[in-house]
Amino acid sequence: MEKLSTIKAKVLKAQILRSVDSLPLMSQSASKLMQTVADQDHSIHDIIEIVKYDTALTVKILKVVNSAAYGLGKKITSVERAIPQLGDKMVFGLAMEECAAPVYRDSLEGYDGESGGLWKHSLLTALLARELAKLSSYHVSPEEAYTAGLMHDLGKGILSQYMKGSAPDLLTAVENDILRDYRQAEQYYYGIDHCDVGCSIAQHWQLPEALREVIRWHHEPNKSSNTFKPLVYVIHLADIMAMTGGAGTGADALMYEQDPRCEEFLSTDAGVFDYSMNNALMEYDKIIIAMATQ
Amino acid sequence: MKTIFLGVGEYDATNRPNEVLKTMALGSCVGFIVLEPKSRTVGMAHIALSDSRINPALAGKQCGRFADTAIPALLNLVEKYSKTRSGYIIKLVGGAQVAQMKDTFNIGKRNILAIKKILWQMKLAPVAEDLGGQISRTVTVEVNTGKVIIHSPGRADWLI
Repeated sequence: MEKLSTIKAKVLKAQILRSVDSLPLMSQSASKLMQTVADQDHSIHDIIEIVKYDTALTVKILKVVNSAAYGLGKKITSVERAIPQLGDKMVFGLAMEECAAPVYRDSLEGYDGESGGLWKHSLLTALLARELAKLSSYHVSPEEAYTAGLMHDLGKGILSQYMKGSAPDLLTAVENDILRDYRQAEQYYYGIDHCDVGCSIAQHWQLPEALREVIRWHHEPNKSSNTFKPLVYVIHLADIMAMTGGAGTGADALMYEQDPRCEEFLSTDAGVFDYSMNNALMEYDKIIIAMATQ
Repeated sequence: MKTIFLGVGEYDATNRPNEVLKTMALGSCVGFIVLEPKSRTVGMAHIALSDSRINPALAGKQCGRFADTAIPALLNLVEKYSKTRSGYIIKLVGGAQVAQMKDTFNIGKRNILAIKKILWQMKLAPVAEDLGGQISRTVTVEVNTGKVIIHSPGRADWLI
């Protein structure tokens, strides 16, 4: 596959950015949940107050909590009882999946991935990030890490639509060391990568600066601003561990590089690390089974 | 063809015709595969981590999750179907990583080393392997042919 001509690449980039602008805004409940979850003093009642006015989200939450994976036996019919069972972060995760459906439910054809793969990858990254935040050498809020994990790859949901059929060529370029990683391959062929596209979505949704930094720099954490480096490193590693954990987004899975400074930002040893990773994987399996049996 | 799907930490064996064992998206996890040609038994474990000592309670419930508990468990199960403990063909798939990965975070490398060490101690060795690298692998093992087929997004399938 030849690199696109400058004119074609510019036109394509403009089209991609236009499709970001035409995305629906974040739903009011997802946006409120994001702020509430980030506030360390919030209570479960604050979450219930937001959800109970959102019918679609309520239906979704009740379906998940009543699935066999949660094994609760007695049917739960109210958000007041369902939300404490799921936990606030899971509720926010479901709200995001609902309101950003056009992004998370993209077929990922451009990455030769599977439909729903971006949501699964984002969810596992979020769960891993929450665990890794606890191992950070600096203070990183597990709540913020979870949210950032959910959002870090938003750009792929849009970019994928413009990359159909490209996976074998991009893979060959990276495998033969012509390009350093898959992100560079996106950049080389299309003049824009999933981090840039994600950043535009973040602006469109008016996400806070910390999330914009994560989305922009999660493959090059060393380039993020010092204030956000500890968080960006957590997401950088969580993203990699989600891919090695079997939840990649298709052909690009594992075609990335680990930043050499990860050990500086995360103080852990192999045993503790494996234990934390396993906890996140177990929870992930439970949620995925619950959502599949809706 | 009837497909038996193995999730993370699961293992199974079969010698029923027209059945296949399949496990999806092995990253750092390793597919530990045992074939016994005479009885046409195939077995596979989806091993996630190297050492059950990090969570013994979990290993008791899900022994397929850890290398040290999964290997004896699968060998015992294969023996139930094949009625023999010899002539096993062992194949390994998975244990991937990303570029420049530091050892502390390299679960794939830990898995490969642990599995080979355990097999060595049991006087066993794989005859074929497709390990490491930056590839996510889905593996299918067929009872009818004994074929081990690997699939990865963006690539043509291959056999080991």
